Amino acid sequence: MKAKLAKKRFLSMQPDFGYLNAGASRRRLGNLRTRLGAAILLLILLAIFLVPAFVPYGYAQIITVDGQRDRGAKNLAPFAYSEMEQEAIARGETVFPHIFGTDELCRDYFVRVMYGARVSLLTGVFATLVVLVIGAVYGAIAGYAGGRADLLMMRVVDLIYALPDTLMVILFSVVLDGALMDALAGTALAKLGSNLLSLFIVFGALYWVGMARLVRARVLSLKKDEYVLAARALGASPLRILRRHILPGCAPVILTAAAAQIPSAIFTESFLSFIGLGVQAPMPSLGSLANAARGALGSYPHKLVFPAVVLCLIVLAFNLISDGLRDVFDPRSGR
Amino acid sequence: MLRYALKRVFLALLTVFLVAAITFFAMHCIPGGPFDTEKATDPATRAALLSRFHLDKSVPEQFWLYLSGAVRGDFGISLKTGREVSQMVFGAFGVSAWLGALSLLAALPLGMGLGCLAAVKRGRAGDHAMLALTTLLMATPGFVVATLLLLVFCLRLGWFDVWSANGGGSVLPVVALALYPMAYIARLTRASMLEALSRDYVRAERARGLRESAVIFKHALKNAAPPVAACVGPMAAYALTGSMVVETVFTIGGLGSRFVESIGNRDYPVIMAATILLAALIALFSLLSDLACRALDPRVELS
Repeated sequence: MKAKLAKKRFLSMQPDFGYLNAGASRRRLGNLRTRLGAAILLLILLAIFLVPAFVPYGYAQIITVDGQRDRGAKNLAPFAYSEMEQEAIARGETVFPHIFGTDELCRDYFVRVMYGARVSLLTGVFATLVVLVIGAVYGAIAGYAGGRADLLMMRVVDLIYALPDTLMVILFSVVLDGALMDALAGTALAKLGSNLLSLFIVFGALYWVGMARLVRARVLSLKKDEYVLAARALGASPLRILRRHILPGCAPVILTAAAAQIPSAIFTESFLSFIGLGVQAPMPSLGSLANAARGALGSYPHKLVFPAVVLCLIVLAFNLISDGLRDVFDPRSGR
Repeated sequence: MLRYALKRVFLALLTVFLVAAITFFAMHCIPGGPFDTEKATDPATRAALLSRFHLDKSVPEQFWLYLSGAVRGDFGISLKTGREVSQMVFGAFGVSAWLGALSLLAALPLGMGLGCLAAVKRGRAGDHAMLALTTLLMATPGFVVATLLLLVFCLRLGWFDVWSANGGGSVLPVVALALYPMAYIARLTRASMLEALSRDYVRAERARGLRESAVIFKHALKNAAPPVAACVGPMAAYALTGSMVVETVFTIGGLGSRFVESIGNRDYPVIMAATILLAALIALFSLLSDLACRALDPRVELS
């Protein structure tokens, strides 16, 4: 019986060109994943950038009824109204519902979650941009220069790669918090807070090495191509060759890595917020909202669930996109 | 192999040294000294205090003194509690090490098992379920997982006490720490198992009439193992930093929660000691997993 089964499996494997089919089906699956991820992302983007425009509350605004501070609007459940609001409704006024309820300082939680999602998303995108620019330029130069310069530059990369990144982010946040507080006071950056700034600095200083390695490997293989040789024979300068001929060829690698970098940056931000090194209050981020919700977890679990679900959706969307892109561009790769 | 090992050991030592140096000099960039008080301190007292803690010397000299102390296990004195930092840190380390070891020991076989299963059942319901589950797990931050576990199993269902040092108290923290590594290892195992199963030797073994279980577990798994071994290092690093979150959520007095606490207190000597210790551990694990990877697969490049 078993031998028969094994034989059947053996025969069924025999004639097809499995690897070709596998490549095509992976590409199809990759397309599907990318589209699913992009659809989720689009929905989230619509929700966090358009919807708050229709909600008449601000993220740091304490709820007032008829110009009077509403002390009863504390920790409301989703779609619940405080007594003052109910009276106002009874008088015939319209009160916009608190879709996610309110927090312990009487602020509308829906708007806070949406703003938190904006902050988290923008942090992720901006940190990734920093990584992308530094990593791509460094990797392209190292790969194109080759020889001793390449060796030296890659040693630096190896060393930075070995540093424990999370610890370094924490360290820099602590230090910059002490060192930058006074320097920042009064500037536009103060609203952002020294913690977010240090996150960007650390991403710029440490996280680019992964991107640099990928880009360098791609450049190494691209620069042997004949069209590059042709460009060089025509007298194009190295800068022009890099910019016009080699970097466009690196686009798939860069795109895939960038899509994978964004959730990692969002994770890092939420982790920092969790251990108390996140964005400056009253600005919310998904991590700091979830962290604040831990205090009253037993009574108001929805305050953890809403930001956590939004965070998961954002990360899920980017993970799907990056996995999908990898399958599309490089169908025979591992994972 | 020996040359490679020596090289890796050197890189690991260099990393730890670099982390120590960065930490030390970064901490010295923070304005204000430990003896700045509201009232003016008597100059003689101040001088005595400064020389007691070597603060009157130049920064590189101080770094040297700190380093030589750290090698002997002396990390100075906590600014907050006045206790010896080494006592605080090493005392707390045992708890974290226990949690981390248990979680990795749980994650590795479970993840590899799930990965193998998914690879063998490729394209079927089990495979899709595994992929969906791991995708979800990998998109959930550690503190959300830990807090949800706490909410559901401690507060709602009441299956576990929130934290008790004896009995089943460490089950939830270990689960919280193990879920992400498990998902990661499962995906990695699945991918490298699929790769291994498509090789000619597997076909040859099946043709020879070898039992399917022997093909999978004895031959394919062996060849699929190196990438998994290589990821144990990063996963151990994850468990170490993840323990900060999990220990804070479950209020366990381990190294992770000590670290977070000292950050909140701006207790710089403790932050430094914990950073250096954690960096040393991460370097050690990445060294071990690289060496294991080399031992499992001699074809891996020596670079």
